Amino acid sequence: MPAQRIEALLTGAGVKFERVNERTWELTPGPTRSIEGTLVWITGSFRKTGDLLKIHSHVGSLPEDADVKFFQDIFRKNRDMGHGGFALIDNTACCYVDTLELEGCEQNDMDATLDWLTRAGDVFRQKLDRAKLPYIET
Amino acid sequence: MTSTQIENLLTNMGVKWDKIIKNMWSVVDPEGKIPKVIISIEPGGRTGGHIIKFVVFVCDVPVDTGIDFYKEFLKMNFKIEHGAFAMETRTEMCFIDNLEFETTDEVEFEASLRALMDAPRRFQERYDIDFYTIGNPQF
Repeated sequence: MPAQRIEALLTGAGVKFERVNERTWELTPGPTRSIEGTLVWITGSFRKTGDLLKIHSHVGSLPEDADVKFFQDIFRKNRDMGHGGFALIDNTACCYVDTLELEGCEQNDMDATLDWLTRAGDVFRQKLDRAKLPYIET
Repeated sequence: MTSTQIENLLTNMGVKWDKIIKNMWSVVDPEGKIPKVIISIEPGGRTGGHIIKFVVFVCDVPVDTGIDFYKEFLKMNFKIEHGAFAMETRTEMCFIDNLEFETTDEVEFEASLRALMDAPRRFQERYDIDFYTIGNPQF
């Protein structure tokens, strides 16, 4: 069952989770990993090659005075990321989002996605550090 | 997957490709009907290894554009199911997708490359994104 497999991957990754509906899990800090996020199980994918796991986590709010250069920096960070990227949920809430293919997804894949999720939060917070504006190259 | 395998695959796919430098190739349609795709092998794999990065140029950033242009692409990053919009320079928007270098097989590689070549049509169909209305496409 895909749901059992998803939960086994999350348990193996050391996060706590709660299944909030048929296709959504909320992730909370667990014994070995302090993250918060949401996992959505998507069927009928873009590539039509199988189900997807979409993981996203809020990394911060856009500063009110975010200018064009701020956005350009965020997009340039996306270029350098190994997987996933920054996205906007609405006009102000910025998140990191990554997608895994459920078929063939192994524990190290899930672990690494959650590692990138943690790194993305750090990168975004550094970007908001006024002392380091205008550019942060991590 | 090896660099030689990538080059053999590109040849077998029948696409026109050029080696830019070691571990970096470009795929270009001589007729200009599909966007140029840059393929490179870079660090950043999930397990400390390398990734195969596909970059397809989407559009030039309009001169004097405001933050709404960028917000629109960031919102699309949340909606799309694979890859992400990104910028290599401050004047070009691109779309990227990554595969694990060590574990990717030939089928996955060809599927990813063809998906990126077909990206404009797919975005139009699935997400109602028309690059021609939000920037100046390179294709």
